[in-house]
Amino acid sequence: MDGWRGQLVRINLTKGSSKIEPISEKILKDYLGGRGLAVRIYTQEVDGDIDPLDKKNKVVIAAGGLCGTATPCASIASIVTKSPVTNTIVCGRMQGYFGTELKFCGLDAIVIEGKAEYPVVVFITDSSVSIRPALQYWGRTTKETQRLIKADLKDRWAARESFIACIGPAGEKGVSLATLVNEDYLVTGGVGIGRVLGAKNLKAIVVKGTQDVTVSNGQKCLQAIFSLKNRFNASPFTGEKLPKYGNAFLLDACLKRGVLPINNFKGIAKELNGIDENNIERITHRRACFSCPIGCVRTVREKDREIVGLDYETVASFGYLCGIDDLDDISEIRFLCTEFGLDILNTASSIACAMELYEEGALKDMELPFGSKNIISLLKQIGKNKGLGKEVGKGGSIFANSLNRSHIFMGVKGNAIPPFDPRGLWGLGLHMATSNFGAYHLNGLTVIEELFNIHEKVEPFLVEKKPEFVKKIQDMTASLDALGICINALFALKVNNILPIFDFVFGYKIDIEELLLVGERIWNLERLFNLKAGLCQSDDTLPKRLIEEPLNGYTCPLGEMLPIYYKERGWDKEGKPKKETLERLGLCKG
Amino acid sequence: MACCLNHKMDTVNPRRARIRIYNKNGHFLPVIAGPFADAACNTKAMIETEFGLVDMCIICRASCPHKTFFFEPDTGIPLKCDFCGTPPNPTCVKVCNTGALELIEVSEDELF
Repeated sequence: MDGWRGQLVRINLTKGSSKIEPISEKILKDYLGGRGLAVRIYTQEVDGDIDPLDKKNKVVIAAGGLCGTATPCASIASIVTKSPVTNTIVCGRMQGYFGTELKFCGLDAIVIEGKAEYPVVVFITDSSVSIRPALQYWGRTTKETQRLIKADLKDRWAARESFIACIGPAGEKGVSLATLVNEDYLVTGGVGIGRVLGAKNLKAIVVKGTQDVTVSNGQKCLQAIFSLKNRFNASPFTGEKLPKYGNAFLLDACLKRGVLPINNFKGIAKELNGIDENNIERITHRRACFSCPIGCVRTVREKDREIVGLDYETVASFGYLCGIDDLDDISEIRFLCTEFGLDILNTASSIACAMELYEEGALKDMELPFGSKNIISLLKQIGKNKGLGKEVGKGGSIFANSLNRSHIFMGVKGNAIPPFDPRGLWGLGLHMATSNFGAYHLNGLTVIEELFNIHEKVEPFLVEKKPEFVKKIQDMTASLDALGICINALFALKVNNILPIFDFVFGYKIDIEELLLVGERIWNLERLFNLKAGLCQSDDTLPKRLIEEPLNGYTCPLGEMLPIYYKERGWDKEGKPKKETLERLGLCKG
Repeated sequence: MACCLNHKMDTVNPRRARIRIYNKNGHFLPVIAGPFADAACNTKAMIETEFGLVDMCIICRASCPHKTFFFEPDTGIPLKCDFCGTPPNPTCVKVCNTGALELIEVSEDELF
C-alpha cells in the first residue's frame, strides 16, 4: 500500500500482550489516517458513556496519512481518548517526530487498552512490541524520563533515533490538567490524556523504526515538494513571520484588532506589556518538526536546558490572561509545564480563575493577584498535586464550581478558551461553542481568515455568513489533521495546493469536495460520540461574560448563529445529526 | 528523507539517508556517509569545538562496523554519499529551506 502502512498494533496492558492487525483500505480512504483514523477506531470500540479513567477506556494514537512521506508540514500525529476534564472525546496534537517514526515502524496506529498492574514502558521497534517495567522512571519529570530511557538503551546510535512520548509526574498523580509530552514538545489540545495514561500505569511509549514508507511516484513527489517549498518561502507569513517570531506574531495582530484578552477575559489589552514578538525573537532560537520548511517552534537555549515552544498560546495565556509581564518567568512556567506534563491553555485558565477569585476575596490560601510571582510555586503545587494546586489542578470548571462561582471559568465543556476574545472574532466564538473537544482553536483556526483575510475576505460582524464559513474551516482542519498536515501550513497554502500530492503519494486523485467530506465525516462521528456521552444542545455555549458583557459595543451573538450552523451541518434543532446527513456521509449503521 | 526519495525509487526512509545531523547543545553538525572501513579505528578522540567537546567517532565520516548507522536497514549494505551524481547536485542541499546545508568545495591547500 502506498503512503499508508495498513496495519495497527493493539497493546493490551492488562495481559501484557500485543497484536498486529490489518486496517482495511476502505477505512484508510474514508478517514485518511491521523485524527480521522484514531476517531474512527476509538468510537467503534468504546461506548460513549464510559468512565474515562476506567480500565475499559482506550487510547488511540494514529500518525497522519502524509506523515513520513516527506510532504512539507506533515508531521502531526493525533492521540484520541475520552477526557476526564471535558467528558467529551478529545484529540491531542503531537508535533515533532513521533508520528513519522510510527510510520517507519510499519504502523498507522497504536491502540492501548487495559490497565497495567505496575508502571510500564512500551517499546515499539519495527512492529515488534515489548512491555517493560518502569518503576525506575516513575515519578521522574519528562526530560529526566527521556534521558534515562535513552541511557538504558544499549546502542547509543539507536537511542539517538528513538522517539519517546511520556507523561510527567502530573499524569501519574492524577492531575486532571495533565497531558503528555513527546520529545520536548507538549501535546496541545489533549487535556486529561496524561491522567488517562497515568490511570493505565503507562509511563512512556518509545518508537524506533527502520522500515520504508513507499509512495506511488517518488520523482514527481520530490518535484511537488520543491514547488510547495517555494510557495512557503514566498508567503509573508510562512516565509518571514513564522520562522522569525513563531506564531507569537499573532500578539500584535490581536492587539490591533482588539481581541487580546487580559485578566481572565475581564478586558482587552490596550498595549503590549513587554511580552511581544521582538523580545521573543531576541531570546529564542528556531526549531522545526519533521519535514517542516517553516520551523516556527521557538526555543530558549540555556546552559543546561532547553525550553521548547515559547508560542502564542503560552505567552498570551500566561502573559496576558494571568498578567505575568516578565518573559523569563513565562519561560520558566513553560519549562515547568513541560517537565510536569501540564496542558498549557487549561493550566493558564485555571490559574487565571484562581487569580480572579483571589481578587474577589473568595480565595485566601495564597496571595495571588493578577501578575503575581507566586504563580510559579502554585504551578509546582499543581504538578505535585499538593495544597492549593490540588484544587486548581482539577481544572478551572470544577475548581470555580467548588467555590460556587462557575461563571468565572472561561471555557466551554470544561476546556479553557484560548487567548482570543470571541466578542471580536465571532467565527471563532461559534467554532469554540460547537467544537467537539470543548473550546479549542487549533481544530478550527478561523483566526487565519478572520484576522488576516489571507485566502478569502471575511466580514467581521455579519451573522448570516459566519456559520457556513465556520463549518468549512472545521471540516478543512479535520481533514488536514487526518493527513497530519500542520495547521500553520494554511498561512501559505489553500487546501487545493495539497491535492496534487495525493496522486503522487497514495496513487489516486481526490477533489476538494471529497476532502471536505472526509472532514465532515470525522466531525459528525465525534459529535455522535459526544451525544452518546451525554452532551446536549445546551453545552454548545460560551461563558456568560462573552455573551452578555459587551466589549467595544459587541458581544458574541451565539444565539443567532447557532440555529443557522445546525441547519448548515444538517443537524436538527437539538444539534443531533439528521438521518439523511448520516446517510450522505456513510455513517449509518448496517 | 529527500535523499532516500532520490536514491531509492518511490521510497521514503530516513534510515536509508546518507546524511545525518548530529545535535550538540543546540548546534547541528551534518555528517555524510563516507567510504566504508572494514575495521573500526581505535582512536577514541574527543575534539574541542567552540560549543564543547564532541566525540570524534560520531562526526567521523567513515562508516565502520562500530557504527550502526549508514547501513541499509534491511540488507546491511553500507551507504555512501555520492553527492547525487556528477557534477555534484545534492538533493539534501536543494531541499534544505534554511540554507543550513551548503556544498562547499575545499581544495587540499586550504585544509592544511
